Amino acid sequence: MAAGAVSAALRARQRETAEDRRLYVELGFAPVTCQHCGVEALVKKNSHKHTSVQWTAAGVASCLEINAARAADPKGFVLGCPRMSASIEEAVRDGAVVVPDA
Amino acid sequence: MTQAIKQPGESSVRTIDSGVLPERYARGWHCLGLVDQFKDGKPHAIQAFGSKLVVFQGGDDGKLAVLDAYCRHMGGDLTQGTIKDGNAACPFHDWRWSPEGRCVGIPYAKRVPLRARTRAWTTMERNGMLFVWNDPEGNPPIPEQDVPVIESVGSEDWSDWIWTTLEVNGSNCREIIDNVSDMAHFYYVHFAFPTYFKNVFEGHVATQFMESRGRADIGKGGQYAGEDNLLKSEASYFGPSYMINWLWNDFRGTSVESILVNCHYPIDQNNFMLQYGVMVKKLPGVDRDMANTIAGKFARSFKAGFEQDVAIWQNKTRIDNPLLCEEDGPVYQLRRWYEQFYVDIADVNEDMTARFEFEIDTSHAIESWEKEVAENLRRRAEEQAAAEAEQAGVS
Repeated sequence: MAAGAVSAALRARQRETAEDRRLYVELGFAPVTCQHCGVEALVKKNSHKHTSVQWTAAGVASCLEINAARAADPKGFVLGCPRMSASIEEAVRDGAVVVPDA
Repeated sequence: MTQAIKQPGESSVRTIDSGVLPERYARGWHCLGLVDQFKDGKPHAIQAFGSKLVVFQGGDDGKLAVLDAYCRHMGGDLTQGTIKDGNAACPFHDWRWSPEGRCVGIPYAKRVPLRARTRAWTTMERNGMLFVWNDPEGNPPIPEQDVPVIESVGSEDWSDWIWTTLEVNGSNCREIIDNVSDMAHFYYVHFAFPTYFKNVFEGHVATQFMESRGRADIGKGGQYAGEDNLLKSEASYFGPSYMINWLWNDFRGTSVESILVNCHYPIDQNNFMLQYGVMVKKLPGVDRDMANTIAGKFARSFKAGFEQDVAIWQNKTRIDNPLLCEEDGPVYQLRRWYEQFYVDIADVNEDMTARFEFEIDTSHAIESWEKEVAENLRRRAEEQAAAEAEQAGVS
C-alpha cells in the first residue's frame, strides 16, 4: 500500500514536470510570417532584447537566407535569419508579438 | 491540468523532481581519447557505457580496435592480457580475439567453437582522436552525424592538442550538456560577464554563441576572468557528447585564436569521464614549443573552469523540473534536443530536431553584476586601506 502511494506521488510529480515542460516550450509563442519568403515561425519575446524562435524543418528548408548562408559555407554556423528578425521587429510594432513590460 | 494552476494569492511550495536516470546510453560518436595514447602495442582499458572495453592496435593497417573487455570463454579481462599478431590475447587461457571481434585462435584447442564472436565497436580516428559509435539499437553510424574535421589539427600554424581528463563521479553526463544553455553560470562559476548569448539547436547540433568580458574583481580564475579579457566563443555539440569550441580571446590588443574540444563518455549512468583538448594558433614569431606552452596555459585555465563546474555537479541534485527566470537560457528546449539521442531512431521527432533559436537579454544581468563587481572592488580597496593604516600604526 505504501509502495502504491509512493508510485502515485511519483506519477503526480511526473505529470507536473511534463506540464512544466509544456509551459516552457509552448506558452506565449505567436506565429510570425517572414515578409521575405513567407516562412512561418513561432516567436516569443520576454523583453525587447530577448527573442525565442521555434522554426519548423520545412520553414528552415525554404528560408532563402539560411540556405544561402549554408551554400556559401557548408560548415559554417548560421546565427539566424536577418529577414526573419526584421519581420519579428515588425510583428512587435504591429502588436502581433507582445513584449511584456514594454 | 487545471488542477496545477493555483488561485491568485495562493502559493504552494515547489518541489524538485529529481527524475530517474536514463536506462540507455546516448546514440552517437563518443571520443575515448587521443589516438596516440592507445598506439603502443598494449591493450588499454576503458570503463564506458556501464561496461569495460579493451582498446588495442590490431591488424596490418595499424588502426585501433575496440572490443568488449571480457572474454566470452570464461570472462577473463582482455585489458590485462597482451596483443599477439594484432589480436587481443586473454590472460586467462590465451584465446585470441581479432579487431573484428572473432575468436581466431585457441592455442590449446583443435578448433575454435562456433559462435565465438564478441562485441566489436565501430571505431573512427579523426582529429587525432579515437571515437566509438554507440547505438543501443545496433545500427551503423548515421552519415549526417559525422564528426566534423578540424582543419587545424596537424597544421604548421597551430599547436598540438594539450589533453586533459577529469573523472566526474556522482553525476549523470546530462549536467555538462545543461551548460550549453546556462548563461548566468558563466558569471558565478567562471567569472565572466556574458554580453551576448544565443543558443541555436538544430538537427544533431546544439550551439552556444557567446561574447563575454572578464570580471574586474577576479584577475585569475579561469579562461574567462579579468576585465581586459574579451572573448568570442562559438561552441557546438555535434551529437550527444562531442563539442568543438572555437574561441577568440582578445587581451589588451593581442588576439589569440584557440580551439577547445570538450567531450565525455559515460562510465555508467552516475559517472562520466570528461575530456578536453586545447590547441592555439601560433602568433607571429612563435615556434611550436612556445605555442604548446601557451596551449598548456590555456588548458590549465580551462581545467580551473571545469573543476569549478565539477564542484557544483558533485554537490547538486539532479533536477528534471528546473524553475527558470526570464534571463535563463532554454534548458527545457536543450533537453528536448538531447532526448533525440536516448530514443529509438524511429521515435526521433521534429520537436527534438527542428531549429530553435534563443537570444538572451543580458542587459539586466550586466547592470546588476556591474554593481556587484564595483562593490567588491570598493570593499577590497577599503580593506586594503585599513590594513595599510594598521601596518603604519604598528611600525
